[in-house]
Amino acid sequence: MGKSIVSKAAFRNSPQVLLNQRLSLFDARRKTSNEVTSSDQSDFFRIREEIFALQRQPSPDEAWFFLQCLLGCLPSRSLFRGFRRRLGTLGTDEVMSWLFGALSRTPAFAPSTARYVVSNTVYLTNGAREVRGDEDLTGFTWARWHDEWPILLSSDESDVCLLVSAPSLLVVADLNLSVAQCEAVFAVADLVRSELWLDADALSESQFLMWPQTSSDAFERFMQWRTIYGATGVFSRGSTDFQRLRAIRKLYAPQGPQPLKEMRTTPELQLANPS
Amino acid sequence: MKPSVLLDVSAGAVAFGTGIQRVVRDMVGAWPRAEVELVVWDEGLDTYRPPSAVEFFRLGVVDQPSSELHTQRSAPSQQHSWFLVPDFVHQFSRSEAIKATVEAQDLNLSYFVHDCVPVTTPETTIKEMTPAFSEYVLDLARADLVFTNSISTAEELKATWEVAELDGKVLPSVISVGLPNELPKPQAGLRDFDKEDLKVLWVGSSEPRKNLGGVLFACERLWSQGLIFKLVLVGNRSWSDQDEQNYLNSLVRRGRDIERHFEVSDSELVDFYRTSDVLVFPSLHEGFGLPIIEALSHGLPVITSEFGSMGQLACHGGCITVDPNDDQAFELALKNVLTDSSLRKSLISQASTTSHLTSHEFVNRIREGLQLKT
Repeated sequence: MGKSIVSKAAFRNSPQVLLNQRLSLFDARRKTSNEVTSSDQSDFFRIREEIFALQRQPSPDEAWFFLQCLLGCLPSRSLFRGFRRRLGTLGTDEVMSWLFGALSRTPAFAPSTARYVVSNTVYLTNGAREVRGDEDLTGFTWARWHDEWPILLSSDESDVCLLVSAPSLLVVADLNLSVAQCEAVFAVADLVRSELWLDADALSESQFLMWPQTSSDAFERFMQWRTIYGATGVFSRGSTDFQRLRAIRKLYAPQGPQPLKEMRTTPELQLANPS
Repeated sequence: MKPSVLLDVSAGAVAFGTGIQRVVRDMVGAWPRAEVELVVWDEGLDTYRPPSAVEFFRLGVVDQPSSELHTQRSAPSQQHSWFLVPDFVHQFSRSEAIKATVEAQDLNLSYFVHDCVPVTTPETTIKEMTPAFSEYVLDLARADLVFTNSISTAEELKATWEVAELDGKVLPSVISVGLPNELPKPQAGLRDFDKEDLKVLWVGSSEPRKNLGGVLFACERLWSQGLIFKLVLVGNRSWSDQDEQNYLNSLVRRGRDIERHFEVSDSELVDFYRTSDVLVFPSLHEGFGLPIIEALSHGLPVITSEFGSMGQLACHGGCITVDPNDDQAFELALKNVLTDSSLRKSLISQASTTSHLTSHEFVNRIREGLQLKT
């Protein structure tokens, strides 16, 4: 493992940055970071209906408009669900190729960028922070071991990048997720059937596992716990209180508990036993 | 002193009716009158009083709202041993008033819990309700006894307390008592499993948890494959259902055979159960799932979710269970029921042998828990 992988210099020149530049071209059309106008929503539904009524492929512009809506429109779970329904019984690969094929015909997506985006691992970080060293490298290391370039995402770009990248492994680096991130995480995991792993090294320092002491954060906390339910496993270097995580999982036992894989992740152990 | 109960019927004395209102009204109807005193909180939520004439009517105690019943405030007519709250207390002032009342009168406190949806499926709830539910969960932990409508709800509640790290505290016992089905009983004899004009019934409010979008999607796919059937939607609109409503409108415009009914009475609901061929109830989460037992009691097959309280109800027969998040699985299950008359016959036969609680049995389970009845 080498830190040079995530050095600032490398990151600055990565295709991810190029992608972000492409994305920024469309910022002007995004009315706010979290919502689209009712006019946009109407357009979204109209185009969506037309596409599925005619059983045709979307044009590049339409495909991009879809992504914009998914990016900027907050009811991501219901939107993803509806989106998938409109795609009928297409499998995941077909869904992604459908979107990707359309996107590859857009000027905004250069082929090199597009190729890069089809990575097998997405590492979702919270906010726009950069990788800071060992404490943030667990998932990154995992991905590197698989000889993949993971995609590092900040919250702003997460929805769109996750959608176009069809990851088979989704690592959430920080459990203090916003509600929008929670929705994006399990909507995407649901959509592409990726494995969702939580990197829980910061767990004991966070408020994440405490019962909400003030009313204002109850909804966010419950959404975070809901995200744990959808996870395949948790990474930790040993500082995590797995017992408390298991307690949270019990909440969902009536819904069918998924066994939460636990992996202690000293780099040596992880590299020796990645599965 | 003979043990008795102050029953807080505030939730049942309102003009609308959901599952919670039905439970409260079942309790009121079946509880021995000499053992229980009904109370509602006044508008300021600072004191309780007997129900008004209109409220007694809404609770089903009297047939006419004009019946002569006391409406003035008065102190409880006797000493009680329990204060029972059968609904989700989402008002802070009511919660505080309940606690003060219990302490001042040295009563035991009990709650009936309907679900833990705001914790377990927050994405389907009204965001503003979750803080109140967070407080409510802690209130429940301070009660003397808690009843739930299902084993599933009991499991979720106990797990919630564990997460809240109340382990060191003395927590109340949690007793799952189920729910009654008091809709009028069907006529004897099995329903016709071999008819051609098939009806698919969906019952519920259109809140996100009920998965109406999934139902519409599956039906549309089957219609587009050439299957002929009518979809009957029964229940009111609810929060965050605009997407489903848009989709529904587009299907209606496309000429799909859909009926929608709002504000139906119990007798109308019975008619829907009686004349339909399958109930679809693929809810994303439930505390109980009342339409399932209502349908089964009328010999109506059910397609429902495979987990939680729905899965627990379905295991007694008459049901096909699916993952409600798996649109293809649900579509296939519905297709099988609609196209395979022998499957329908088998499900009808199973449904007809299921048994369900009466209101008296339901109330007696609670009374036994409160040690009012041995």
